[in-house]
Amino acid sequence: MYKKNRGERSFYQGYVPNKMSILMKLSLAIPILLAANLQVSALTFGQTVTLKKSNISLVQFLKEVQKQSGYNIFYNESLLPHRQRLDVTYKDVAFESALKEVLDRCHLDYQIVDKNIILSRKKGLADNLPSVEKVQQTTISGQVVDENGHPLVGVTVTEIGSGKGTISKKDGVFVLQVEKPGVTLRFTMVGYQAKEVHLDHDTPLTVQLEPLVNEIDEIVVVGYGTQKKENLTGATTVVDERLLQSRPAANVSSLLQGTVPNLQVKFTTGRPGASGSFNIRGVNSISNNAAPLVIIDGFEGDINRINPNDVASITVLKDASTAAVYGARASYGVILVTTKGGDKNRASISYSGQMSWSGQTTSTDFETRGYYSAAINDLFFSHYAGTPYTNYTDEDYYQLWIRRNDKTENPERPWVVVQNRDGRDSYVYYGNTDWYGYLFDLSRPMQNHSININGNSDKINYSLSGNYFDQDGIFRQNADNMKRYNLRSKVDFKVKEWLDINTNISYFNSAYAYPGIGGVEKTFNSSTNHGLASIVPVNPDGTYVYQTTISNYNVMDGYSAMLSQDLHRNMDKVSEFSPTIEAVIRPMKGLDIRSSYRFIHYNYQTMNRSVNIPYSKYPGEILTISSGIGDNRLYEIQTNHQYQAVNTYATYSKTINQDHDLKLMAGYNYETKYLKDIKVARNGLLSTQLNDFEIATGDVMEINGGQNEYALFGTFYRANYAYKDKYLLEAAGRYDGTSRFAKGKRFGFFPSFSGGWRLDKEDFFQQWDQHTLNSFKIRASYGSLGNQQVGYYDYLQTINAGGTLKYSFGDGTVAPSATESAPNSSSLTWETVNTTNLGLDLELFQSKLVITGDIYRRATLNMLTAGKTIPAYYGANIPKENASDLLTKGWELSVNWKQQLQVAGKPLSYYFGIGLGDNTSKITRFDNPNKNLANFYEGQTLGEIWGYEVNGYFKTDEEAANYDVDQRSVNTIENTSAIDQGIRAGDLKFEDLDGNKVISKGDNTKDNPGDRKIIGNSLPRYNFSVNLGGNWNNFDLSIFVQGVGKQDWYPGTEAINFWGPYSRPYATFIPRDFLSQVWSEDNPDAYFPRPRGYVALNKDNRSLGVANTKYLQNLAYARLKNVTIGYSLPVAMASKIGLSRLRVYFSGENLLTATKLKSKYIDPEQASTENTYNVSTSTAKTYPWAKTFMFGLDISL
Amino acid sequence: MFLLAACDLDKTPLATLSPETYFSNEEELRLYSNKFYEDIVPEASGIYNDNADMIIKTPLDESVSGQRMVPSTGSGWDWKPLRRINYLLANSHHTADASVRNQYDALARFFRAYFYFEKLKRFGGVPWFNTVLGSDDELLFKPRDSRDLIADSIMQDLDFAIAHLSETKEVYRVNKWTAMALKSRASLFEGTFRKYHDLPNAEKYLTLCAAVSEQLIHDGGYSPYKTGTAPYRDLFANTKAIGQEVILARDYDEGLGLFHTVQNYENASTMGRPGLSKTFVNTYLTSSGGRFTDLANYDTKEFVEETQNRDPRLAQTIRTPGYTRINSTAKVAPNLSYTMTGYHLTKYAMEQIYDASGKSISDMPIFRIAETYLNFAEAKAELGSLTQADLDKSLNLLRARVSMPKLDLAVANAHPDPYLSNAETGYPNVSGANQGVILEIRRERGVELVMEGFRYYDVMRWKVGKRFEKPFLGMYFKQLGNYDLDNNGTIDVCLYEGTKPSSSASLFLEVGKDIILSDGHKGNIVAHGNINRVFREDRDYLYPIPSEEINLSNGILEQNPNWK
Repeated sequence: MYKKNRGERSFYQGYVPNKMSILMKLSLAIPILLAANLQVSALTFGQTVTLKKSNISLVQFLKEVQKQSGYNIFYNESLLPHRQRLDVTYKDVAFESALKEVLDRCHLDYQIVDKNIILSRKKGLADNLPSVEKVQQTTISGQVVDENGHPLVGVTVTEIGSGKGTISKKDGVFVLQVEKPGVTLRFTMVGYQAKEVHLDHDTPLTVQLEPLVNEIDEIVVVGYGTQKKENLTGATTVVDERLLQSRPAANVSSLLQGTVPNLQVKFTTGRPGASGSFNIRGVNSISNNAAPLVIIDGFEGDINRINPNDVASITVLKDASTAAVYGARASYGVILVTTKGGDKNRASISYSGQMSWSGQTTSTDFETRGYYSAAINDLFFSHYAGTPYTNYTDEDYYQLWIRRNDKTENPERPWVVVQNRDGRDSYVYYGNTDWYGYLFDLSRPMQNHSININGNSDKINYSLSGNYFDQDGIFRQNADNMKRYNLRSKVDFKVKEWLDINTNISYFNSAYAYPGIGGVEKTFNSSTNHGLASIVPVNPDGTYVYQTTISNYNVMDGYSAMLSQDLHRNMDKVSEFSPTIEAVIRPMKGLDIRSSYRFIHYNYQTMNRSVNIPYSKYPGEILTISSGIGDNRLYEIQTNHQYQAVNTYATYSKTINQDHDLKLMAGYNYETKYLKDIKVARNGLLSTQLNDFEIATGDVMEINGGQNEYALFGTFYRANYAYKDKYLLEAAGRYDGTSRFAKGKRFGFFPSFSGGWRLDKEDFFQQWDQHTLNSFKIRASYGSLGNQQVGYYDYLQTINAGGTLKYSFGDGTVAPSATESAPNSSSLTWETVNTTNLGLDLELFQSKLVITGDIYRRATLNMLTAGKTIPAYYGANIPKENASDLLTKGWELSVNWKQQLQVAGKPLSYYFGIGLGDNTSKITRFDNPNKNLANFYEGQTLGEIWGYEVNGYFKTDEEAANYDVDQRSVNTIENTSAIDQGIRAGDLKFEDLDGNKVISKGDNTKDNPGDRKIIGNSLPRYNFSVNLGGNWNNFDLSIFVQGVGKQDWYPGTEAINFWGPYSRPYATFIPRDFLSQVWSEDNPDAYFPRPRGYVALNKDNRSLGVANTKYLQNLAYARLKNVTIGYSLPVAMASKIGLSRLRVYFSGENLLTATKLKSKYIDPEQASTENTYNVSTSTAKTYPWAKTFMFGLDISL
Repeated sequence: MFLLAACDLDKTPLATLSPETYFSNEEELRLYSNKFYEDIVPEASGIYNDNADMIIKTPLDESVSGQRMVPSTGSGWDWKPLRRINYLLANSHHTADASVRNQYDALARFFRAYFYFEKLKRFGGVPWFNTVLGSDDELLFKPRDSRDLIADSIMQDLDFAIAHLSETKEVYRVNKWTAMALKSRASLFEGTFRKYHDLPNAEKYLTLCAAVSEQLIHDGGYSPYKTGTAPYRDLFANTKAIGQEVILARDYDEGLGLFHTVQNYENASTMGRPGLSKTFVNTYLTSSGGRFTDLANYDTKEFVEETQNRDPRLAQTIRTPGYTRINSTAKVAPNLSYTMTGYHLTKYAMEQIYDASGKSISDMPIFRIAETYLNFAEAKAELGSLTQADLDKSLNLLRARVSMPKLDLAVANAHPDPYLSNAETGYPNVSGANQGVILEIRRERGVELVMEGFRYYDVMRWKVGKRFEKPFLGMYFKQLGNYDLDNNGTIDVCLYEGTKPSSSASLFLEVGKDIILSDGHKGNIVAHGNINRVFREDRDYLYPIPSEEINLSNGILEQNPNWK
């Protein structure tokens, strides 16, 4: 079982004036505690010491005494004779006599207080110090508590100036005699930040200590066990706790964004509760969706279904050696999440609450003047089609013109009039509609409440937590809403001295309600077309607007009428119940056997309801959309997953002859999952309010099912050996089997090795000033992992009989069909990932500066990709084979500084950290001898964007006509358009790179790419983050910046926020300053060429659609991801109202963004995350990202 | 200790079937073969979007404008449907009942023939595959098979289909009669293509066509639909295909969300503005059976005049004066915003509510007996064996439906139509004793089958690609000013120059800008006058094969002549 222990052997290096410390009777105490001893100390203390060592330092001796006796030892560092070496030989000697003997040799004295040994200078030695006069004394008393208000026992309290001190006892209470009020007390404890409190009177005081994070000797959760951080030899990153604690976030994936170099967290939507997906260290395979394995408390799980407040620690395993024990699922790295358990020695209730409001991260200043909206549409449309988009007459345009500045409807100039069109009275629209404002409410109010109860009794530790999250989305007419509930109970029983039984039960429930049909993204996106500002959403008589006489197109394809009607409802519900039980047996010293079983029941229900949509085109006549989006239909999906898993493993640790530390671990893991779907749809519901099949009477029914199953079995081991804590070796591996491959191909063995060298432990470094260099370790690892992430039954060809066709045989139903699955290769087997990692850990200046760096080389071999491209006669997708290799190289670096200072008489602690990572991937094997660019090819750097070179426009029609290069292949629209046909002034001039006078793709091969070249790369490089913050006088501040240093993007054909009417002329949302960016004779340097619709809508043969240098976008960005400013009530004040802690804070997310993007209507992060190694042309038009302002409150009782 | 001792890694599919046992009964064969229809039966847009020289729209297809380039991928080079067909044929032996098996083999072979017919039309000879190819199959690098082999294989497949498919008529499913209709179509194509492109064995295919067409006419029991006052119109403007005449149709159904968009295509300013070409409209006979182009000043007759007393199919294909929408009494004029030639298409159009984009639900005939009649007459005429009796039992039934006088073989051959034999407006390469009747059959084919997806390949097989270079013209205007196109007393369009005149017209067109006339201020509307259309006789009768495929074949697959 994991126990967080910050307190192990930490040398307190706080701010202490040297002169004063000499005067102290009781030192600034440094307990030397080994983590394991916290647990051991609950057992029997050894009364004797056995020790045989030569040439050891006093510190080493004291450590040993402490280890064997169970007593804490406190001392002032300056007392110890650092250079003195000792030879000791004790066998079952009473520890006190051994201690006395050694201390005598060092001229030190000691006293025992409770379970603490306090060292002091022998009387008479401090002869040059003035003796302290006996004066009248005052008693000061108080209580020391931790960040949650729990009492802290064992805190050293020192009076600055006199050196007098004591230690807090039961309930954190301390009593100290001082000479007079007006003293400054210093509170220190291992694992906590020291604190100085000035005291002017003798009223009881409560002092709260903040935990120190990132201690050197942290215990790190690794696969199937824990490891001392200093003994790690692989690439393991523990997420900085500050970044987990100070950032309020909707879910854990958003919390992790930017916290670990080379851990990319991608969000594909900004909708409430959106969860991110992960990538560790860049592209690891081109075969499938490269997701790291997420392990939650020992078993695979979904990181977004845990309460962010429950997270105790997150460890990211990046290389093969650390991930080896997870074998065939870990080739993409592992994220280990450990949830909080019951704390020892304290019982508490704490509450944390947040409320937030949001804005957009991009501009939403769109054209709302009907005149311009219609005119731009008509301009762009008619240049393509020869006829305008709208049916507005000159008179209509005049009417629009005179209303162009009416922000609201002027009664003298109504926005909707009735006129004869098409031979009958029709609505004619002259509005200035702010569609964005009509459709979207940008405030997205959110509230989030968490409660946590934990404590212990003699044999039981418990922790109960609950969380409620509720956020509205952006739809104004009927807001989408996300609600989420989490419950977790962890109760650990100490049944016997040798047996623990631990339970961990969690429940997750979320419900996302949203309007529309076809998913919330579709609902959002469908507003981007056919919504002229001149048209209004609702006619004066309250009917909805859909078809109009204004154009042949339906307003927003009906989505505005649908949203106004507010009857289309969708609900996605997820619930997950996950109990785990674990037994821990310790049959003998050093041996620890754990076996755990988890069951997960996952249920996903989705409900989609659509109804008929009434609308009016002619006054007094109600028409109805009754098919497509207006189909009166109910659709439900029920998905159930049942997952069972067992982990059993044993760990044995032994120290041989003091110098040889050995740790062995072995076990097995079995998992199986069963997945089942039921999908039902029926039309003809009798009510628009009720959503149940009981009231569905239609003839059109649809029933579909589906079931799948898989199983995994693996045995694993890990062996650690350390010699004198200097030389570290580790070997680990897994023999893994999966049901996803054919018999005979199922099992694979994945070994790894790693080693480390603690140079600081070497004598030649011992000479160095220990204050400067605290730790210096180099690491190396090599290992091999598999990847089994293929379909459940890919090795088999199957016949799927559940499909339907877009075809009917006239019998009132769509035709059912059966199709065979894609042909495959039954010889499919694991792809193998070999990773080499070199690392460096450095701590300097009393560990104020911590530097960690890694470089790696990862070869992904035998990737399951489509084999060689073969002629189309084959008639099916090319079957996957273990056919290609990939090589990824990268590095990451993190530099962290932290320090405490005195500012204005108050302690200031601050930190500053930078994380930086980078990687690139190359294809090293792919069967594409011609290097055809339609596929991967050997030597390809993933993410390459091939494009044409365009430096500007033709300045005159003559220049265009005289250009002796045939540009037709990229100008199909220009050539077939009805107006201003052909290439003219204001059209892009494509450079003839290959000199053959024809712009073309050549053979579309690397050697003959025609007139294209590599113009950029779609993958992110140099991901970076900066975090800084501090605490002072009860205020705290943290700032977090995250970004990407280099990335290119060619806006996709449907990136309508970028292209506007160049893509689809009828774009609803046109930037207000758009026309100023459109080429004309008067504006020859505009960013965009002469106006014409659809020129961006095809990526093969249209001038803006084909990637070219002119419109390639630089996606590098730096984003102020989070700023949090908090204030904690002084404990004394908080305790008056019965609280141990009260903190209020303000937090802002995504407040500022620096970007070189040529459009302020696109979020660079949004465009960035949609790019992948094979997609450089994302559309960046998903549900918008939010800029969030949050207020929070933390209370502990 | 928790031990899940049964560490079982055998997990077999729970919701899918194994190919080793599938295809063992009729239901499984039927379910699998349903996909062939979706794969191969053309969608409505592939039928009504008849882009060649009879219907002019914008933008022109590149194959018509001469802007075609060698594509890198796609462009008709899809072979997935063939794999599925061969997959059924390779596995149907799981069904023990030979009659069931033969029936579905026949269905598969019908679709294989259909598949290869499309490839043959587009690319000429291509490799013939009758097995399911493996990913490392040597056959993937098979060179092209000869045109002869492909054509013969199509005929063999169709003969098998005709022999084994059910005789039961079902308008939405393939049966024996459908196979015969396809054989009629394919053999006529191949026969005439060979004849006009100077390839051998033309007669063989024309003979096959005549025989199968005659058999279908004789045994099929199909006849022209004649109910109502406008049967030709109603045959297409119908939600349920009429089985009396239609042999195979594709079903469109509002309730199932199966729509096409023909009515939007016909009635929007933004869907290509299609319209009949003047050259084609001129070929509609007068209602007395005379040639319109024999009339004095036929070429300067304005719309209202020229549409009087013509073959009734004209008024059932485009808006002519007096036209009303179905279930409406309001007369509506051609809308020059919706058609670039002025000849406003109405075929397949039902009530106005289906005009919206993606809302049309008229069923789409794929094969109908009228085509077989025309195939039969053409094949016999090309063979030189056509008789008046042949015409009377085929083509003339179509004339009769619309109350047009019969085509008289002797009269036609005695006076070949100068308009249709003229290089500017017709088919100069038709010759011989039957020249006159062949031209008349071609006239009839155009009038009867316009907008049904035949024209482009008719032009190809008749080797008259130069037709695409001729002017694409629309209706004639004598002068600027107001026009009442439907003769109902209200002004529909006003043509002007310079400043816009005051007029009650609902549409103003500025000559020279919105509309180009052949003689400046008067004349025919000129469509695409600014595109220099080029048809290369040595190249453009076949499509280019995608360059990727040429590259992938290691030099084995040869590109069609003169494409690069």
